[in-house]
Order: sequence, then C-alpha cells, then structure tokens
Amino acid sequence: MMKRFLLLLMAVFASFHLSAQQVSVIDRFFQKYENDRNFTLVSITPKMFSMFAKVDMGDPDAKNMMKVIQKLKSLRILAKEETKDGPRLYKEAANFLSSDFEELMTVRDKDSDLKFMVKENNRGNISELIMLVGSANEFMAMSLVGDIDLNEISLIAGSVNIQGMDKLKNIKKK
Amino acid sequence: MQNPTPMKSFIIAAGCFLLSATAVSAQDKSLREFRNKYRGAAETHTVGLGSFSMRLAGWCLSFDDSDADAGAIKHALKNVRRVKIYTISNVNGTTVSNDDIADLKSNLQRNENFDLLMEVRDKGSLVHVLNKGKDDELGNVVMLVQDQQDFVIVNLQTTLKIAEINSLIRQFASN
Repeated sequence: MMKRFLLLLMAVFASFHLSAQQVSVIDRFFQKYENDRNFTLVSITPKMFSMFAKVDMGDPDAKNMMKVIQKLKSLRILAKEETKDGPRLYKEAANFLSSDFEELMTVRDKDSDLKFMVKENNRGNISELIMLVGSANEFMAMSLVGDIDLNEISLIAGSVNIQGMDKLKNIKKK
Repeated sequence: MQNPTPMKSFIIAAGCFLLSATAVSAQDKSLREFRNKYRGAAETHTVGLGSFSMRLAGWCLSFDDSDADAGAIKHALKNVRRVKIYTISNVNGTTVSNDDIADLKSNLQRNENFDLLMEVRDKGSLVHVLNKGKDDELGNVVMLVQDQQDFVIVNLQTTLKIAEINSLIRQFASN
C-alpha cells in the first residue's frame, strides 16, 4: 500500500517536472513584460492556428501558404517603439535563451542588432524560432512555435510584414 | 402509447423554451455583469439582434439572386443566432480599467470555458478575441475592443462551421 502511494507520488512529481520543462525559457521573458502596457503585444494562440488549419484555399499559392500555417502552433510578438531601452532589452532577452537554441543568423550594424535563434525537434525541423531586434530606439522579440521545415521559413518570411523577417527570405536547407 | 395531450405538449414546449432561454442567458452572464458594473458611472449602450433580425437581413439580401456574395452572406447570417454589442464610454472622463478587462477575460476563460484565440495590444488600444465551440465550428465568439475612449464588447452566437466560413472566404477571394 505504502509502495503504491510512493509510486503515485513520484508519478505526480514527474508530471509536474515535465510540465515545467514544457515552458520555454524565453517564455519567462515574455511573461515578464506581457502585462507592461508600454509594450506592443501580438499573441495568436494554438486554437486560432488549429482553426486556420481547417480553412481550405482555392488558390495554389494560398494553398502552399496554408500548408505551412497548418504546421504553426503559436505566434507572439513583444515590441517597444521610441525607447532608449532597445539594446538593454535585446541583451536581456538574449540572456533568457537557453543552450537548446542554436543561432541561425545574426546581423549587426552600426546601431542595431538582429538575431535569429532556433530550437530543433527530433525530426530535424524547427520547433521554435526566436527573432530579437534591438536598436537605439526600438526593441522587438518574436516567438514562432510549430513544426517548421527550414525551407518553409522563407515562405513565411516572404508573406508576413514583420520587420526583420525579410532577412530570412533567401534561407534554404543545405 | 397514448399521444400527449395538447396541454402536456404545451408544457413540454414551454419547458424547452425556458431551458434554451436560460442557457443563452447564462452564456453572456459575465458580459452583462461587466456592463452593469459600469452602469451609472459611464455611458453604456446595448444593441441586440436575434436570429429573426438575421433572417430578415438575409431575406433583404435575397432580392438579388444573381449576386453570389449576397448569397454567401445570407447563408452565413442563417447560422448567426444572436449578435449583442455592448459599448461603455466616458467612464468618469476616462476609459474602462485594464484590471477590469483582465478580470473579464479571465472570467470568460475560467467560468464560461472560452478559449483565447488572439490578443493584440498597441499603446492605448487592445483587442481580445475569444471563442467557445467545438473544433470544427466558430461557436460563441466574444471580441473585447478597447481604444482611448471607448470599450466595446461584441458577442456573436453562431452555429457556423469552419467549412461554412471557408466557403465565405472562397467566395470573396474569387472576386
């Protein structure tokens, strides 16, 4: 009886540990600032994407795009314009990124930094794409979660009007 | 088996009607409570359109049978059971508090089983879209829209399937 109880207790703790692991480290950065009204926030939930997935477009180009969208689970954007905190927020967000993220691309010029980080899943696809932009007067963090082929990233980059994403337009899997 | 008497049928029908009316009323309980909280302290307006109004609008659209767009809208309207719009403005010279909106959103999610679909916030403006329905239907949709002065709640109670929205999109995309 006691043994069963201990096993059950262990199973409960293991499930808590598992659910804690499922929260991405960058989530903590989003959680820290998502209620701050000085930030612009866009959040599209998995349910919205699952509803998108059922929409069947007639146009072949739109069909291809829908195929990619069907693989997305969530999109979050946190941005702050007309701020001097751009470089500080960029550094802070970058520090939240754990070692399971790999660098995909970094662009640095005189007054701005842009970084793309990706987390791979077992199938070699991207399970999360993070984009960070920090400059003298603005900051932006974007998290895109799904099961995305690197070749499809360029399709997404070409169809969304998000500053910085255009840098991924020509990216291809080797 | 004996056929139910007219009186018995009437009581059953009245019972069903009351049950359905209670269910509809319970669905927007949080919204009405929120509106009532601001009554007296702000200008509040409520506009409600039932399924009859929707059918009437659909009927007006059906005069022109050659217009495919009108046909698609008419079909969609048939599946909209109720539209309710609440507006709250000029709350003591300011707008609805952010904490109250957060509470309303969390009440809808926790007590009325709504799911958040999307959220967009920019400076003083805010849009939340929530829904409650099966995977293949739009169901009951609540939109919370706040700008610098006004707060608007749009509640759509529909039986629209995603496939029907799909055909509506296709119809308009074909233009």
